Amino acid sequence: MKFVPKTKNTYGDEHIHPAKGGIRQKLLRNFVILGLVPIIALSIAGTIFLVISRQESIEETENLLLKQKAEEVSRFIDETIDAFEVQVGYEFIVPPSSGYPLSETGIAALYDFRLDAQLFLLQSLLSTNRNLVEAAFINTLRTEETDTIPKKQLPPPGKETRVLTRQQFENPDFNYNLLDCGLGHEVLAAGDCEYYAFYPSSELFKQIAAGKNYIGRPYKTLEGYFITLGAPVKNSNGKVIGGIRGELSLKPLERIFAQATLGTRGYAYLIDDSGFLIAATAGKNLPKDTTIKNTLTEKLDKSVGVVSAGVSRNIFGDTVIASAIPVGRLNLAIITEWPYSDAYSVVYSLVNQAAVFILIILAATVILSRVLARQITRPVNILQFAASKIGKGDFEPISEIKTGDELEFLAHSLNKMAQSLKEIEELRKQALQAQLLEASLAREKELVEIKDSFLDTASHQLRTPVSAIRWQLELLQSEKISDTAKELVQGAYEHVEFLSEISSDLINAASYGAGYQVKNFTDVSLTKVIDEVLTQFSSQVEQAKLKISNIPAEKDVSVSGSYPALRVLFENIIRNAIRYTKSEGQVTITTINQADSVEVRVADTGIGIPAEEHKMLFRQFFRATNAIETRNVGTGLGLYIAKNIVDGHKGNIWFISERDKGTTLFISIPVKRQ
Amino acid sequence: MILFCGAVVFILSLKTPFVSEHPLIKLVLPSSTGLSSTQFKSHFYEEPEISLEKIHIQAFYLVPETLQVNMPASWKDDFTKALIKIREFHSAQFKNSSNITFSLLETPVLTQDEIIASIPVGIDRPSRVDLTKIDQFIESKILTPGAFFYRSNFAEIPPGAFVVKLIFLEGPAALGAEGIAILSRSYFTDPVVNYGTSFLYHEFGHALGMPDLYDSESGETFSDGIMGSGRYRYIDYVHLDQDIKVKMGIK
Repeated sequence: MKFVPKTKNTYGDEHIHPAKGGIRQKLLRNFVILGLVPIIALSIAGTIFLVISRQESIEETENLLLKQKAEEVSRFIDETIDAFEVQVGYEFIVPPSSGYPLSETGIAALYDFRLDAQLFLLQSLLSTNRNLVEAAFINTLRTEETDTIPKKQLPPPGKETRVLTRQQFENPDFNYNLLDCGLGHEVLAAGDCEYYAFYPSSELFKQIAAGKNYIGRPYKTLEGYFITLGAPVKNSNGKVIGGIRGELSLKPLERIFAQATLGTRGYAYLIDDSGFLIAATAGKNLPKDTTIKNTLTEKLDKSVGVVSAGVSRNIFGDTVIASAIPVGRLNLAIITEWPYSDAYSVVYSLVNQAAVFILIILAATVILSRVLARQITRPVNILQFAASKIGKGDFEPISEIKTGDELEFLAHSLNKMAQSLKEIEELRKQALQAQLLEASLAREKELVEIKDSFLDTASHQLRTPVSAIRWQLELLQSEKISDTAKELVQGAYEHVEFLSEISSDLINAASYGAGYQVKNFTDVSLTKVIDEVLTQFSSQVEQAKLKISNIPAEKDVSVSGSYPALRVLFENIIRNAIRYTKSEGQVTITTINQADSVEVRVADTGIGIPAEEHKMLFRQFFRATNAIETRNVGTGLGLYIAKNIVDGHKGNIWFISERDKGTTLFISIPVKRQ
Repeated sequence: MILFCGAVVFILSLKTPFVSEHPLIKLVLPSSTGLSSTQFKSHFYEEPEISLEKIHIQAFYLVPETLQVNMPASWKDDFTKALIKIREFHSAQFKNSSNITFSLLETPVLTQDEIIASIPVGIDRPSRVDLTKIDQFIESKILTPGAFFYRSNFAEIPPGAFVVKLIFLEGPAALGAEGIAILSRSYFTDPVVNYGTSFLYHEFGHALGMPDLYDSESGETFSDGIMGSGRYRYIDYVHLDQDIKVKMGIK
């Protein structure tokens, strides 16, 4: 995983973010996946189930409406045509007073069914059915079928014998005699009175003559659609004695279809067999002057039941779910078209609600994931920062994380780890120091061994011959030799003395160099040491004619220290005082008991030390310029050694000096071991 | 990758009506293709090359000089109403694919009996009618500029219109032939006859080539439409036969 620096955290440290998103993004992604995927999957499955269920419901609803409207249309036609089916009894129709002879069976033939009775029947039909605009009576009998009437008196079969229009019927001033065409009650021939049609070869006549009802094709007039209906008129024994034709307005169908709705925008309409619109749901501006033909209407030709076109386009180009049903004998068809979006509006509503719900869940998930991510990433960032600090060697504990979960435990563990690392680091440092100390001690030991070896060498290889030479020179001086020889011996002796002194300084410098530490503390009386040293230098004092004043302390108080070292200390101090004090000069040694130390002051009236060289007085190999002038032989190690010895006893050494007037050295040695 | 897959699934799902018909989708992707309808091309009976999309009727009242006294005062109104009515009927039957305009000569055309005598009195098939004389009369007396009955607004013909000369005759007549129809004035003024306008259209139909759907000799009718027995029916309740309409482009 790549990491890219992006921001700085609250500790001012640089945050590092994963290139592919951090915990927030992962949380968001996981929340979305866990929260939304099941909901979306369920929604899709539910939607599919709803669509399938709704599809069945839509088909059922359309079928129901189609069948209902088909039944209403059929009922409307049937009720009318049923009224046409008249069965007349001779006795009723022809009163005895008419003068027509009755047959033995009492059944009259057509012409016995008098014209005025026909008119009465037509008037009855028009009065009972306002949708009839015209009714007519048709002759179906041939002359030979009526024994009681002269043949010439019969009109030909297929000739209408009475026609009554609604205008005539509703006109109170209508002269019914006009219906006779000026022929009175005479029998009509085929060509008589053209107002009465003659259609012996028509399907209407054939059906009626066969005793069947007739339903014609709907036709359009200025007053809307009409349909021609026909029914036989039978006498009381069932013989067809004529027929009735009626022109029925289909306007009532407009009312039947006006309220035919599916959902809020679904509609139904009625077409004839040419595809012309007869009636439709109110408000639907379906074209009336063009045929409606599509795959659905083509299927209708072969079907007697409901035909479904499924999802298709209507004449407006909209997507609809269409079904149709033919209206049996009427050469009509009913079509329902339900706009898809309206038919599935319930499902859409549910889907929309689900979508809104999903969006709310998504928004809540995003917000929640960010809140949770913040809660989680904040301690993680702290831990990250802490780890970064530890990586940089900062083992200070981080602020406590109070999440009460694994992160708090992790922070606690991290703090413990930091503490452990801190301890380990300290141990490592100590180990390193110990290692260095050990190495240093080893080196020191090595150096001590080298130094001891050198001292041995100096003692045995240098001092011993020098001592031997000096002893021999002393013996030579005691011999009887010439004065010249004595001077030479004396000169040699002095040089040997210098050589001895130099070798002693070198040995002392090696023994009491920088960092000298007293190894074996003993109680040492400085008074005694001073006395011994003065005794040691008594010949030099006498030779230089110096006045020595040794003023001891009132009480001899011992200090804790190294006798050899203190001896060397005072040898060097007192030697310098004697050496650099002119003849007849004064050297005063005063010992004073202080509270916790013994202070010795060695004052001389010697050459003093130039002021500009005071600060260099205790340096190794330093010799004051006036000292060199006074005495050119010297190692410059005396005061250096003295200073190291005093330091090794945790004491102090200082001086006051003035050139050509003298120097006073102050030495303070602690009484107790420091 | 997820977004890409989602986009592909969405685009594919647009092919399903459930997705493409969603109201929100339709706002963005309207699918309606608008009203698709078939307009008819009406034409002369069985002669598609003669368009009847525009028909202009030149109607006038032809009155024999001897019968001037029979002229009703309301002849203009009566004829105008009849013309308007057949225009409505024609438009309805031809599904608005054939539009009629008409001009009624403002003055009756008085003529001598010999012209009237050339017009067959009875109802006959147009093919058997010889209307040469009446045609010549119309051309010379009415449509020729400078003629006595010439009126420019009457003679003017809309471009591309099929012209029918319609004569309201004072006297017995009822016939029609290509481009001409003649009907007795009495059909429109007789209070007993309510089928005058139907008869007028019947003869006008002949002028458009429509055949009779009855046999004048036997009296047998083959249709209850206006070219058959329907001519005796009030025009509001009659129709033009489907077979004729089919042969005139209304399919």
